[in-house]
Amino acid sequence: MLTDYLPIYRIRLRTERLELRLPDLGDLVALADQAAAGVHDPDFMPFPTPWTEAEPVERGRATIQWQMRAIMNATPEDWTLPFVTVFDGQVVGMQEVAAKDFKVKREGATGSWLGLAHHGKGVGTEMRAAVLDFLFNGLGADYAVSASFDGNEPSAGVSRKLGYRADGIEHHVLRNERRVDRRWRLTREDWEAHRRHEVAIEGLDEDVLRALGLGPDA
Amino acid sequence: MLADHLPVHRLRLRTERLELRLPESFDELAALADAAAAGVHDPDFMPFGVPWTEGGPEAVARSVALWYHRAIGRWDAQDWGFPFVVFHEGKPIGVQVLRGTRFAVTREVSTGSWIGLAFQGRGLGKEMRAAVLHLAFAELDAEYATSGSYDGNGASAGVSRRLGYREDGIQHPVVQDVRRTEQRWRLDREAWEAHRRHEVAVEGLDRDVLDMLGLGVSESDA
Repeated sequence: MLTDYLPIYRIRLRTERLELRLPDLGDLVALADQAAAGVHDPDFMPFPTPWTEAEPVERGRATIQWQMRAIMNATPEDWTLPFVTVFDGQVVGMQEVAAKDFKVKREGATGSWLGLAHHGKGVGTEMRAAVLDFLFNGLGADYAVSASFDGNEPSAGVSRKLGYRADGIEHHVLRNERRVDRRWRLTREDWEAHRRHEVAIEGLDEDVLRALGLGPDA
Repeated sequence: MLADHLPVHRLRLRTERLELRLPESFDELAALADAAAAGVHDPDFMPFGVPWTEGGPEAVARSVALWYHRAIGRWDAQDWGFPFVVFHEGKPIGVQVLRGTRFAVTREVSTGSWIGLAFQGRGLGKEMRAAVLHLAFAELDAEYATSGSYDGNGASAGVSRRLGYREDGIQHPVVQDVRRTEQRWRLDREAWEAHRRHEVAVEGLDRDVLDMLGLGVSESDA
């Protein structure tokens, strides 16, 4: 089993409607299909790296390649877990959680996207809640951070609902325009106070903790 | 299908005893990792510039699993490397990499490989190299193929010699803090033709695959 050699593939997060897992090759195909079909209104670019400007076939391939790089580059000191979100048995999008020097900083950052057909059903909130539970409950985080471009109300709404507070802004240049990126920060206390989703964490064993820099010998 | 997004997954090379293709599932990748963990060379002789076999079986297997992620994750039409898995009697027994950098211009490929210890000494290493050379010269119009073997790696040097490569100088890499001598090998089209012995069937080499190799219509028009 590949999970014998790459233990992070063991992680499974389950909520009422969703399962989050690291994708096998079949999941990657389904995720690439979602990316190719479109993940946002083309008139509003929600990503600092505008990867969705490419043609559908390029978007699909770039999605798979990004996922592969995330797995291959993961170290205990600097990791990204690029989960896919499975809803009704179908891969509908992705929810990443990333951290640097997590053992010391106890802080994780999240990012996500959903296929257009799956927007507006609360899936974004539920999948964020899943990785927050993973961070705070599973790994003992003190903080989670996120960011959303001005005008990306669905993403800002998820952050607000889950208890994040505004944490300043930064300016990005995108398509030659200045864009305002709103940073969001969630403390453990605020997370506790806003928990609404039951999350079951599977596969988070000692090998996985070690891969995330939290092993007993780390 | 994975090949819809990554057309190189369509490619299949068949020889008398082998099939070379990309893995279709993580189970196949894990089986390949198991083959590497069982041993790929005498522990007293390190044949690789990147000594990925120096850890225990688990580290070796992990390295093989990530090797595929890396090949796909870094694939670029201007700088690619096929992570061919070599199947013998339906089971993965090793890998055969075929790389090209700015191939449309250089028309030069390089190769690298390993094969499980239990499958060495039967001419399979030669057969798998012949398969990717056929892809390069017969299908992709390569003009040169290069390879390298560390001093003392008679098996690899033998494959290169038998397939018509000529010596092409040496280099001195430092591996595990030791200076090693690496013999470079070069094969040109004429020498390849003159030494062809293996029938190779190529499947799935369509326009989409050529695009991924920097050989698409758009590139040649540009």
